[in-house]
Amino acid sequence: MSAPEIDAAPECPLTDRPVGSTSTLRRVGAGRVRRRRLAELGFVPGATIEILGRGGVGGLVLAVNADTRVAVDAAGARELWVHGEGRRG
Amino acid sequence: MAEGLLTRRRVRPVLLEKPCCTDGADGGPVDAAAAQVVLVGNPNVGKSTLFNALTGARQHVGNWPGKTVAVARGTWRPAGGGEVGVVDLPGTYSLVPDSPDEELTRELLVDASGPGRPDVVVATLDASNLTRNLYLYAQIADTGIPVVVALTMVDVARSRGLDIDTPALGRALGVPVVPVVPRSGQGVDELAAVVLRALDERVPATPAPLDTALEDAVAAVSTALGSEAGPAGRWRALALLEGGGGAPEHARDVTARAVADLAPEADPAADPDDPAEEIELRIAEARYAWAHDVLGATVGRRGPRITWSDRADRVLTSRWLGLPIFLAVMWGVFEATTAVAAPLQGAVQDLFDGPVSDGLGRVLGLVSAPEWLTGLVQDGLVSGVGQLLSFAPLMAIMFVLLAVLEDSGYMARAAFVVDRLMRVIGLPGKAFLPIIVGFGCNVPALAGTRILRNPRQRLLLGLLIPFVSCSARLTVYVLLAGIFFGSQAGTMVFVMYVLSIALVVGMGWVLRRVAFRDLVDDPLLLELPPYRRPTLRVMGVQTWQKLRAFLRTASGIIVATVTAVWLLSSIPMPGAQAAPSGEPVSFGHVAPADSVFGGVSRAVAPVFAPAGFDDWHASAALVTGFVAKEAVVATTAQTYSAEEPADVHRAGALGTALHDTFERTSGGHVVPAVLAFMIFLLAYTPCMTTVAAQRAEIGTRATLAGIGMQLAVAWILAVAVFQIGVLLT
Repeated sequence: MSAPEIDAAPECPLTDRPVGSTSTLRRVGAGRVRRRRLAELGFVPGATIEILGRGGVGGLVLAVNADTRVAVDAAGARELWVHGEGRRG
Repeated sequence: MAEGLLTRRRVRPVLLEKPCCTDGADGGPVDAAAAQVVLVGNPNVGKSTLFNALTGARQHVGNWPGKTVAVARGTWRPAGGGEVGVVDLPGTYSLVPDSPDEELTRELLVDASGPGRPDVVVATLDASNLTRNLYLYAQIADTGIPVVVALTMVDVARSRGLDIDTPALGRALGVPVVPVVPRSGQGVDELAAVVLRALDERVPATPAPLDTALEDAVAAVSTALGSEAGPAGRWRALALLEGGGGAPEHARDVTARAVADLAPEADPAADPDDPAEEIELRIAEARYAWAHDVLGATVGRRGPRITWSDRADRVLTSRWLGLPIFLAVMWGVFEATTAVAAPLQGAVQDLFDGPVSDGLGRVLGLVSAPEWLTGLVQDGLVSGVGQLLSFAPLMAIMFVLLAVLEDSGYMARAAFVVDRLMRVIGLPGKAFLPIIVGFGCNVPALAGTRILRNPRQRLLLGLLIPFVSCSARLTVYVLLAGIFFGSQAGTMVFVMYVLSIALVVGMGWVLRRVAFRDLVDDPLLLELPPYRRPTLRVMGVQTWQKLRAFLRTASGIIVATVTAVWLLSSIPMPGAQAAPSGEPVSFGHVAPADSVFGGVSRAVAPVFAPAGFDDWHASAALVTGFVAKEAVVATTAQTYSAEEPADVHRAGALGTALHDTFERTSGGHVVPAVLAFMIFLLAYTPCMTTVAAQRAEIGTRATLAGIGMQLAVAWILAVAVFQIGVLLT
């Protein structure tokens, strides 16, 4: 599939980003209630997400909008589609 | 547009009316009876500590009328005079409810009208996490209730390199902002002054502005709603745009047009919820955009963002160390609820069985009380109350441990570390702790189910806990395994524990598919609050509150059960033979076999014929096992009129008697019959104190359903084990 890229930077799930990287949230691939819960913790398009660490079985510890610390599991991280800035901390 | 909305609300006479003018009796600036202040905030922002600083000891924890949501309510006597009712609402991330806890906040702030509506909201905001806290603030401001902001965690914010310009924040929000340090009480007097002024002035909070298109839509819908909107008009208009709430025909049309304008790309034909969802997301984004603007204008950021809390997380949540550290912490919790608690429990029980019982007996003797009364008091009530109170130190330890783990911030990390494991039974990682504690004792484990915020998950866990084999059941396993399995006794006891885990997992699986299909398996999403030192004072007050609530709920069941068992074993069956000592049979002088208790046991016994233990000795042991598993060994001994073995590993005469019984009832298949009996013991109701604790946590109906389930599961398993065993041997 070679769909034309609309944006310069490709979109990828958060699971593809390395520990220490900071990304910008583009969209949440989940249903309404889940999107609402995520929004309450700061996960709205445009939010910055830094991956602080990786736990067992694919879970991630994140810093959302710099101040909120949130843990997600691998399934939760796959819902978060980000636009990577490629910066490593 | 939003301006017009505000003005209209301001002139509503009911909001302008000062409560002091309608009730001159107190003469104070605030009507004591009517003034109600609610604390609203995210979880872990120090809200409960603030509540404690305000109310001190003048508080109680109890269910909100008509709900199973536990809420702390108290009386605040602010420095400025008067008396104000304070409600500490459960921590919430938004006013759109996800659980009954959050629903209560929404109902009070949005749906309530008249006297039920709070007079002032104290929005407790975490200074170190302002963006997300302002998101909730924006929703609170939309309800139109006067708001005062208590800004907590200013010290944490400073340590993270955040400088907050409080006056500027106040100007940006349009409401008073008071920095408080609830631990030390710093800022509380100032907060009092501000709250009293807000109660006096009753000025609704200024809403957080959204983008122009959204504000136009809100204004149009609000105008269409007119007087239907009620005091929380802006909230209702926004809810309608998001597809929630009812409205008159006319307002619905206006809403539909506004939605079509706002979300032209959404396709309602494909999915009617689509445009509303689009708008909900857009409102959330607009609220965050506003929060970022406020933050930009009021907060200076310097220094590194990685805190020592983050550094601790690198170890505590790491792939390799996370689980071992978690297991070590759980081991500590288990030790504290077993080894540390045991001597305290023993001391209380001994106190009641010895001095208290003897003392009361002497007093009753002095007043020449009838013998039956002395028996009831000494053997029934005192030992029952003793059993209940012996749980008090254990419960206190459990409550303190829970508070320490929760308030320190470690519980959230633990939940992250074992999340995958607990998914097996459909519960979040936090559920691990009560289960571990349950192996010591089910009673504090049930209290521990409170760490789950979702009441449905709490209910599921509360129903599963009794299948966790507690240490009291161990004594019975050891006795029976020692008598019947000889050198294999240790293995058999181990098998019982494996079975217990299998029961928890299996029943979790079954219940998830039968009664809890609504529990969706959402991916993990968990806030990790910064690590903190727990506040001792708050912990003390809360532990005492919870302990008192437990004792109150439990005492009824326990006194009733103990009295019933005592009565049954004191009343002789009609036509009973003389007691072994040769005395004539009378009330209180009857051998167990001839008492009503023996009669009931005999009547129950045939139920266990398919399980291979149709014998009244066995069913009598099970009946007392309902009171307390510790009593099973003693009752078994009594029913055989044998000495209770001092060491359960060497049962002596009792062993022979039991062997004969099982030999007879099982038709020679002793091993499967004993196994069936042990499995029944494992799976049925642990003890009356567990029932009482269960009732306190999940309510009477669920508790009764739980008892029914345990008995059914225990019977089915026992019968299955015996029948299969007979086929195999």
